[in-house]
Amino acid sequence: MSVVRAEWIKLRSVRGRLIALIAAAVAMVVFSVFSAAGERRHCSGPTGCPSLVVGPGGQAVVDSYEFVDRPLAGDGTLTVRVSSLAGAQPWAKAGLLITASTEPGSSYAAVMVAAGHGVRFQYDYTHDVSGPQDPPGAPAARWLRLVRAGDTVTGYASADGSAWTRIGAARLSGAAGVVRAGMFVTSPQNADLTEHPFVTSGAVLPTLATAAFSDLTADGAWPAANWTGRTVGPPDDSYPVLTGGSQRLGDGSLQISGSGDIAPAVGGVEGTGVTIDHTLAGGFVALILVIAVGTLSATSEYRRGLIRTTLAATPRRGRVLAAKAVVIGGSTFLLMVSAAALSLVLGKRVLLANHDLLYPATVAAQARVVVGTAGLIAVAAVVALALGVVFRRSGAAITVAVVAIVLPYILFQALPTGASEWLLRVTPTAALAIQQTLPVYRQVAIGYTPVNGYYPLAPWAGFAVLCTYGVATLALAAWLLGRRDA
Amino acid sequence: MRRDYIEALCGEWTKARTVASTAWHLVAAVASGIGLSVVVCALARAGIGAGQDSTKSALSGLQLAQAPLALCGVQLITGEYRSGLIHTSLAAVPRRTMFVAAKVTVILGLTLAAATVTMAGALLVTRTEPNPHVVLSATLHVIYVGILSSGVGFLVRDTAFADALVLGVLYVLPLVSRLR
Repeated sequence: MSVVRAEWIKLRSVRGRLIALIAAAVAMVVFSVFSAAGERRHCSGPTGCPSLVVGPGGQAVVDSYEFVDRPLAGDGTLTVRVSSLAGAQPWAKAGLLITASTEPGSSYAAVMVAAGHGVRFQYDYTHDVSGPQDPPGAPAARWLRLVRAGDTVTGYASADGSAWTRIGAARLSGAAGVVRAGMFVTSPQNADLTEHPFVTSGAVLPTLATAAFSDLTADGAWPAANWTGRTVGPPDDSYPVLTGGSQRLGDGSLQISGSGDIAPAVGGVEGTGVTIDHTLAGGFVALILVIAVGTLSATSEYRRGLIRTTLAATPRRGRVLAAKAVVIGGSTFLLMVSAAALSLVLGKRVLLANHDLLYPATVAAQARVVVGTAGLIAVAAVVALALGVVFRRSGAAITVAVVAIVLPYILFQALPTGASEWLLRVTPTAALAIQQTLPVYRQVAIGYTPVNGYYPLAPWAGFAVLCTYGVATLALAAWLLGRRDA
Repeated sequence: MRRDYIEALCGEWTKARTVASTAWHLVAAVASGIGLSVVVCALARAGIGAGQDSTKSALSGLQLAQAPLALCGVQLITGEYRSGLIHTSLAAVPRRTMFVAAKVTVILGLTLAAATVTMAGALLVTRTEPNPHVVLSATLHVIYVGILSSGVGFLVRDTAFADALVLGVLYVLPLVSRLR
């Protein structure tokens, strides 16, 4: 304990180092806010700035589709055959949908044919259940049925319209009374992107899918009303869509063209919003300053010969190193937790004032990002301290620490996705995964790449990679400290 | 006037030449730069088809080589402050602008020489047809690294903080200002 105290006194009594630590915290907040302020969204369209559509689960969602529906007052069944679906996108969807309301972001359940993914039952944007596999040679399942009983909706599929397979069921929220039920078609955006070093070029374009529905039957508590076609979606350009529509064909079937998606929103170039890690960009500035302080707390003792006094006072050298690591890591962590929390709070305000679409994140996820970012910077300080003991020269130690932690982050943008994911698995930069808040959804086909904010490792696994480097450099430093003359 | 400058230049050149760290920094820059370029080009060729700018990949090693180059520039200045040689230097060259000019000239010369060797080596080893625009912008970037490290060295005077500041500007500012 007295060793820790001694190291704490050394840290706080060198004015330059104390100022540098506090400057790191201040710089983190200032640069984060400036960086967030730079993400101003310019809204030129007549409808103004796009709004964020939030689903019943609290996630940002996309909710744009063409719908031909009727009100359903009580329990009821809807059956239809999708006789054709033409759409270039594998996730173009056509089927039956029951929703609490046609306001974007409402709770819903749907059974559908996806152009490249067979029959699916999806509900409340994030849930996706695969239907029966089409047996080879046999006709594909193209008959769909939705059954509403109370607030529960169950989806069925059939190849012939007589033998039905249950796929899944969902309880809708806010769907106790009259709901809207009918046929829908939608087709997600198509990203035609090419990776180059440092830039990704190309365009994200809307697509349109057209489906024909026949043999429609509706049983149950349907109030007298006509089937009416409508385009569901926010009245702005938050998701690229083409104009859809519906018409009755000569053979009595109904043809619907739709554009958009009913799915969770995604990050990166194919998303419209920003994630909360955009409020912590100043962390990199803090990282550099903290690395300098960590290195100096080792190298300055060597430069001035204080290390001999230190080791005379505490002959057990491993303990000296441990005490230094605890003091530099602990004080950095405490400072950075406050700085990161303040950056997050201020940055969110700035982003919202700039009309940026800030994707919501749970309190637990936000706490993980704040604590993890502070932990990342604190571990980097300890790595720098250990490197300072190893090299005994500040220049070399600082360079190795900065290059090892920051350079992979710059390089991965110059590399193809496979190589950059590999880089973010094995280098200390893997710890940045702690800032990822958007999960991967297999029902949305985008590039889940590091450039788009999706890291190859889980948040705490990535953090563990950095910690492994920290432990390894500390062990090396302890070994060298015990072996060499001071 | 002109002779004074050449004499100051000779003095600076002798100081830079006779410090072992200078050579080590430059060798590290060339080796790490060519090494990284080779790795990036190999990965890029394995992963991306035709149509991309291969000169950028071939010169991406400068992203790493700039660190030793910047440290070399910082070291040549802050080393004098640490050892107290700065007093002798300023006694020998009393006109301080002259002293700074000579120092920066030597640092820029060394930086550009090492960067030229790195770029030529990287382009030769990776067998890349150079795109003159990319080579020019890389050369300008190296000049910026030399001037930046000299300026920060004179301002901060302490090796550790000058290193941290220069590396921060080179590696971190692009990240913070990056439009995401």
